Amino acid sequence: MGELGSGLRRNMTMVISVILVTFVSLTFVGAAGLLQMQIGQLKGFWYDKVQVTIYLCNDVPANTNCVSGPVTEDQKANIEGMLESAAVKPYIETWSFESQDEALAHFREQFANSPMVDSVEAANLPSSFRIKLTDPEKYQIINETFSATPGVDSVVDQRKVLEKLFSWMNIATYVAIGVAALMTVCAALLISTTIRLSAQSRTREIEIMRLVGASRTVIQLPFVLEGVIAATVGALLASGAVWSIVHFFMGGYLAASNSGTPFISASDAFVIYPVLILLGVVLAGVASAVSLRKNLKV
Amino acid sequence: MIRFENVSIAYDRKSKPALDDVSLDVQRGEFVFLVGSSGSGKSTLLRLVLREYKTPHGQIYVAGQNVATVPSWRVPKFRRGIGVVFQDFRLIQTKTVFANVAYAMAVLGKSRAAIRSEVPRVLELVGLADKGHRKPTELSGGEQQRVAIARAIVNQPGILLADEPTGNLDPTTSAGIMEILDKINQNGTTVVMATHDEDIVNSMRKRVIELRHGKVIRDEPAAQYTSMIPIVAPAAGQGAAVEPSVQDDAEPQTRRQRIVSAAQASGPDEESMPPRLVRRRDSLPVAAVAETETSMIEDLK
Repeated sequence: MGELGSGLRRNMTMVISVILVTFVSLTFVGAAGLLQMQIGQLKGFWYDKVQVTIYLCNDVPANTNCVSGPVTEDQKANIEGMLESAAVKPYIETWSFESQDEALAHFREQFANSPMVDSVEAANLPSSFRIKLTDPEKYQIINETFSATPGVDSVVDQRKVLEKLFSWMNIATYVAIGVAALMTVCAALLISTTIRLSAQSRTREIEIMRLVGASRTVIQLPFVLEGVIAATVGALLASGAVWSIVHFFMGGYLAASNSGTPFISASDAFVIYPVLILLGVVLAGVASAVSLRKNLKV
Repeated sequence: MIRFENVSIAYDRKSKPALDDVSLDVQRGEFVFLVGSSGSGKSTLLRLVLREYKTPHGQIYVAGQNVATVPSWRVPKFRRGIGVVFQDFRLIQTKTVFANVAYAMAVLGKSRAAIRSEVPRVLELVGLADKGHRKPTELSGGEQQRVAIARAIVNQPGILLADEPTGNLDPTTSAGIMEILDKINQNGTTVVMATHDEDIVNSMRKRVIELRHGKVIRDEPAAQYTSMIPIVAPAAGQGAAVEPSVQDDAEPQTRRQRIVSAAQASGPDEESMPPRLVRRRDSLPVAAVAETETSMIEDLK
């Protein structure tokens, strides 16, 4: 134990750099994990709610379908009839109608912090049919059936909108994992260099231990522990960083400005910390095992 | 205790082998000098005993174990039966004398109580009982070597290997070191010492194994550093040399390339000392040297 303490002190700068590098690399791993968890959360939330929205014309014509003005009651009834018709019904699990007032209420809820809320009136927003499909892949059928129907402004596959967001988040995940992988390689190399250095500064002790017949564990354990402790400290720091991302950034800042969107909570993120610490320990263990094999003959 | 059977080893294929078909047998409790010029294979031989290398040819037995069959994970345990001393002491400069000796016990997981009782005992044995708190840098060369010896024997190995332990020391200090090694030997430890110091070899009159170019060219009990001594009839010589150390098996004896010397035949006899020894030791009171030598020789009997 005394050996370990003196070893850590002797290589202070190296140990600090090992801590920092593992900290950064594991933070990226943690961020990638957070992104994936967030994607899962959003998917579950949105896919459950709605898949296709048929926006109806309002008094701002945006489409040739809408030149005749806002949707009439007849047109609306016609669309409802089509939704219930034999041609379309098998593909639809549930549908609901969202009036302009309801749309305004949702809008206000979603953009509660935005100054835009006060300038928007119910008349500005389209009313819509919200449809949940039995098979989300069958969006095209709904689109073909309704896009040319009088009174329909547009048919939007919400999944498409979300998928774009998700693909961005996935790209961000890959970038984070790429950076994490690079930093992990750095950490591994640093750990093995640290071990080589401290083995060199203790050649006399190692030689004596070998000659008096100290077991391999006694000789090698202080070196392995040196790396493992440094990496664990790095992993703990990374866990702290991930926690503050969840708590302050997502929970505090993002959630406040996007009240309708579900964000993962700090307790959801608890699974990430043990993974990070385990990764740190395994990384240090493997790196030091390889380094010892090369630099410390017993 | 240590047996070599036709051992050969070469560090690389092109150069001459470091050891070439070496066979020897060291009995339990023996004191053996390993002599020969630099590069004759003495250190290689000691390293083979420690299983620093494996032999491609021949068998080595240490304390009844075939060294080649000791699996690598058992090597540490195997080495616990062997103590080693070097020319350059190899002490940890940052630790005190006591801590240096205690270190050898601590890394084997010995208890603190055992360390506290055992370390003072060996320091006493090597005559450093009152210097336990000193750092190696504050000690003379001879004292440092005593610490190294204390460290080598603190775990009570059955074999003590010494690679030129007096190489850095003056003759007076060397004599003190030899006294300690002799004491250790009399406590039952087998001692194998590689050396260049002919005064020591000549005064101790122990078994001498001489190597040249990796071959054993001489293996004589109670011999001197060189064998440039009048030759007597082999039968008479062998018959007369009856002392414990000669009880080794017949193998090495048949390999002897030189005939047992007259000095050896006459055994513990001061007259047979070459005058050269006395001349080179004239810094010491001759009488004192002669006295210690007589007592050493008498110990053999």
